[in-house]
Amino acid sequence: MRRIDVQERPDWREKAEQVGFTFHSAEGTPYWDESGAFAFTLREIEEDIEAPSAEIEEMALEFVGKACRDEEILARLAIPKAFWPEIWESWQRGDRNLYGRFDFAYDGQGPAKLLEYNADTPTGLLETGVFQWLWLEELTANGQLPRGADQFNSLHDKLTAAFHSLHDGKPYFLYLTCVQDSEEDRGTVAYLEELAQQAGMKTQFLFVDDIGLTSAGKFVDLDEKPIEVLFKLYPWEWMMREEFGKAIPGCGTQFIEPIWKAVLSNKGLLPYLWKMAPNHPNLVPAYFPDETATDLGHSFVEKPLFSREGSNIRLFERGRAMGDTEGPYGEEGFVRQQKIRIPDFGKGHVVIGSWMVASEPAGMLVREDKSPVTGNLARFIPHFIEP
Amino acid sequence: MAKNPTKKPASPPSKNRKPTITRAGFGETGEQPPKTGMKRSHKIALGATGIILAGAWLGSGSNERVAGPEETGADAKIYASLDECLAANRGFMTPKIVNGQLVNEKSPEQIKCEADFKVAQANYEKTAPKFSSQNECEGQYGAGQCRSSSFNGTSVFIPAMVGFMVANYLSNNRTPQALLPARQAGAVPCPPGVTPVQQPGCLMPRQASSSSNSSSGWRSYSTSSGHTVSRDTSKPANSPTKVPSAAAAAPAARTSLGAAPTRSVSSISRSATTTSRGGFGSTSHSISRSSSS
Repeated sequence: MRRIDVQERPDWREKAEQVGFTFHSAEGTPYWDESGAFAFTLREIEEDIEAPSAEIEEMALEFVGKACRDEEILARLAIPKAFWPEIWESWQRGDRNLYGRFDFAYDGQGPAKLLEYNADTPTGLLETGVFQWLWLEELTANGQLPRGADQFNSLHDKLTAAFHSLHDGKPYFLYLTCVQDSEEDRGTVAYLEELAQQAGMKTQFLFVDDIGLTSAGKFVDLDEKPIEVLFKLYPWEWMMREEFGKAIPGCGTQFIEPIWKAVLSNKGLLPYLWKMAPNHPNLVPAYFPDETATDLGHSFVEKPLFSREGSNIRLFERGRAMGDTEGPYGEEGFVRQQKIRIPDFGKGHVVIGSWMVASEPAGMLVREDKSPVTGNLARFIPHFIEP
Repeated sequence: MAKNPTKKPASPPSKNRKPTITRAGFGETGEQPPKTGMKRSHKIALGATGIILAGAWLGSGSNERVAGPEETGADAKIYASLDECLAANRGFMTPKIVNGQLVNEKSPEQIKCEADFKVAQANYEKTAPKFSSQNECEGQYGAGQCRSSSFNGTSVFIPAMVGFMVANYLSNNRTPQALLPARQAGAVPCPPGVTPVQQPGCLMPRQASSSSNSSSGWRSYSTSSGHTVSRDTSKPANSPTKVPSAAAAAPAARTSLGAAPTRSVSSISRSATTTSRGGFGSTSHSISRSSSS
C-alpha cells in the first residue's frame, strides 16, 4: 500500500455531476480528491481487507443471533425495550439486509483493525461504486495508471444483483426515504433508486418527514398508499425514539436495513466482538466503561453508542481525558476502545471503508482526514490495485 | 504478517439460528456477477452513463497506450458523411481510360475514407446508446434525432449516425467511430470566448438561428461513449480538430439498454382512516447534520 500523486482531470467536477455525484465538495473544499491515489497489491486487498471483512461479518451475524434474544445485551446496546420483540422477529423471519461498511485502520504493514461498523446508514456508495470506477477506467485509458490496474470495487455489480434478488419476480413497490436537507443523502438514495428500477421494481421517493401514519397503524405515502417496503437512509436509533417509532412494531412495513441491524449499527458491538474473539488480529480491545479492562491500556478513545461522522469522540491518554470532538451524541452511553495508530501517508489520517453488500465483501473506499477522528470533512481518495 | 483470515469466530454458533438466515442478505439467490479475476464491477449502467464495460476505454485488446497524460486533446478528423470525406480528399486523382471511358481513380485518402466509414458504420449499432422509447432517446439527443433499431431481438431506439470520426493514426491505432447528434444533457458548455480548440470536448452554444452571424461555425457531435466532439465548419472538412483524448479511444459495446425505466405514477386511493405526518424526522432537525455515516 502506497500513496502516489496523480494528475487531476481538469473536468472531474463536471464528470462527477454528470453521474449525480453533485456533493463532490463540502464547505468549499473537495471531498473527492483525485490529486492522489492509493495503490494496493492484490494480496493486500484479498488477504488483509476482503477476507477479514467476510470473517467479521460472520461474527457480527453470529452476534445478532445471540443478542436478539438476550435482554442484557439489548439493554447494554441502549435499544428501547419496546423494540426487542420486533428485532427478534425480524431476525427470525430472515429479513434481508442490503449493505454496510466496516471502517478499518490499515497501512499495509499489519492487520487491518476494525474501528467501527456502519451497518445501518453508510453513505459513499455512488462515489465508490460509480465515480471511483470511472476514474480508474479513464486513468488507465489515458496512461496515468498502468494498464491492467484493477480496483476492489464490485459495489455496482453487487448492488444490482441484490436488487434483482430482492425483486425476484415479486410485484415489489419500493419506497425510499432520507432527510430533506442533505444533498449527500439524497444523491445516495437516488443512486439506489435507479438500481432498484433497473431491477424492475417500481419505486417512489419521499422525504422522511412526509411519511404518514394512519389511525390503523400503517405507514403510508403522500397519497395514502401503504408503504410495504421502505429503504430508509435514516438511523434506526432515531426512528425508535421519534413519535412514529412506537408504531413500528407490527406495522407490516418491510424495512431496509431491517430492524435487526440496530444491533450492529451500535458501538456496543465492538466490546461484544472482542469478547467473542479476544485477541483477534483484526479487532481492537474494546469495553463498556464499567467493565474490567485489563488489555484496554491507558490510552483509549471513548465513543458514544450512537455517533455519526466522528462526533463526540473523547480521547484518554494515561487514563485522563485529553479533549473531545463536539457533537450531539452520547446520552445513551459509551464504549471504550484502545487507542490505535491511525496510519498517515503524509497527507492525513487514512481510514479504509470496506463495503458489504448482502453480507458479502463488495469493495472499498479510502478516506483521508487531517484529524485522527474521521469526520464529515474527510476526503475520498481513489484507489487501485497494481497489476 | 501474523494472521489467519479464515479463522472462525471463537464462540459457537447460536442454537436457534435458522440455516436460511445464515447470510441474511439480498444476494443469496440472486444473479451473481461472473466470477473472474477482476475485483471491480464488470460494467456500470446508469441513465447518465449508459453502459460502460470495464476496460472498454482501452479499445479491443491492443497493447498501446491510448493517450498520454501530457495530452490535452487528440487530433481527429470529423466528417458529416462519406461523401464529404470523399470530396475533401480528392488529392491527386489520376485520370485513366477504362473500357474507352475516362474515369478518375480514387486517391489513397479516398480509399481510406471508404474503409473508415465502413468500420464506423459497422460498429455504430453495437456501440450506440440504446433506449426503450423514442422519448427517452430524444430527451438526450434532441427531437427527430433518433431511430428505431433492434437489439438482441428487442426493439430499441438509438440516436442517428450523423457523421464519423477518424482519430489521428499517428498518435495510435484508433478505430474510426460513428458520431451521434450532440447530447445536450450532461455536456459541458464552452465558457464564453473559448472554443473546442482550447477546451476539447466542450459544447459550443447553439446559434440562435442559422442566419445569425457565423462567427461560431462549430458543429458538435457526440461519441457513443458520451464525449462531445466539435469541428469548425468554416475550415476544410479534412482539417484536423482537437477532441478529448478519451473520445478518440474506441467506444465500448453497449450490452443492454442505456436508460432507466420511467418512473411510475402512483394512483390515489382514499381511505376512511386519518393520517398524521411528521412523526419521523425530528432527530435530524435537532441535530442538523446528515443522518448518514
